[in-house]
Amino acid sequence: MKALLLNFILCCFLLASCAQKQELTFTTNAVNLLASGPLMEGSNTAQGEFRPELDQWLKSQGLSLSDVTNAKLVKASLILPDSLNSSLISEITLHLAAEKVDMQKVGVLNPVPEGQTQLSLQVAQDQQGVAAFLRQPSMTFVADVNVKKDTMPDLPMKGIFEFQLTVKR
Amino acid sequence: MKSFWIFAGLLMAALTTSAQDGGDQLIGLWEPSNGKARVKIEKIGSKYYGKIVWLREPVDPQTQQPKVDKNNPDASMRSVPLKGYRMLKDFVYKNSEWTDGTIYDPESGSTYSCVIKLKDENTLDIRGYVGVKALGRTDVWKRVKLK
Repeated sequence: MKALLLNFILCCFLLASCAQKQELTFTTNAVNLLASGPLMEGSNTAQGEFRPELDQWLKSQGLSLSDVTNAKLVKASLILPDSLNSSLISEITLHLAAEKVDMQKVGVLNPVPEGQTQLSLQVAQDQQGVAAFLRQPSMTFVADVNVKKDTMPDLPMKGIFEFQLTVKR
Repeated sequence: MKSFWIFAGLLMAALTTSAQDGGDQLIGLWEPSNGKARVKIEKIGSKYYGKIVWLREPVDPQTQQPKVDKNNPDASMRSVPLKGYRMLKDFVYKNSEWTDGTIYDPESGSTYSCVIKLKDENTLDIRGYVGVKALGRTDVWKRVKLK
């Protein structure tokens, strides 16, 4: 009887360890971020709302939200309009924000290279609970943009963000 | 009966508006008691956040470069500039105070739980604490009026 029980426990353990973990890439469409002018020299806030609709995307992969065990932002790109290159901007810090999740800093670009319209941010090594943002119906990308001088117009930009999801199958 | 529901609806709307207005009193530019920085508090979604927009000494005397978050526990984020740094995060307005948020001390790299109370229109009590509110320290911040 004891041997049977041990075999049963062993089988359960083997079955549990057979649940495969897989990494998937979830890339957002272009998210519009806007810092409303006039912009003051120093820090200005650009923000853009995003509806992850992760459940729909996972469904198309044959998965559900409960299968996601971890998520991490692995790439963050900001695209400035052609009329405005990066020489106006000295640094950018990127955060995720949502109603029911604490804000998290996930990226930085310091210094911003001059004369470019496409900027790749360095993403944070240490990220915790990013999956919780993606599970929200709505989240906000917040970019704190330090500008070098006062300027009147709005600062629109587009963001493309790539998340690595760990899922169990 | 119909007029009762209209009255109840109007009352609820008025109460909601009043709560929002109360919370928004926090929005503005504030200076901690040590005068080393100025913090702009803004609302994103339904929560309040504050970032450093001015530093009395913006340049690090060791590097002669603008100050960065060199004490951040995550090494990959140590190049985040202190100018623009979000030191107040995720405050929710309830019962005439802003709670559930955190305050970050860039000088130590530590984050504390925090509660904010408005003493008067131009004065804030900001209490940072670990665990229980009794174990903490209160700082008084003054509103900076733009000319």
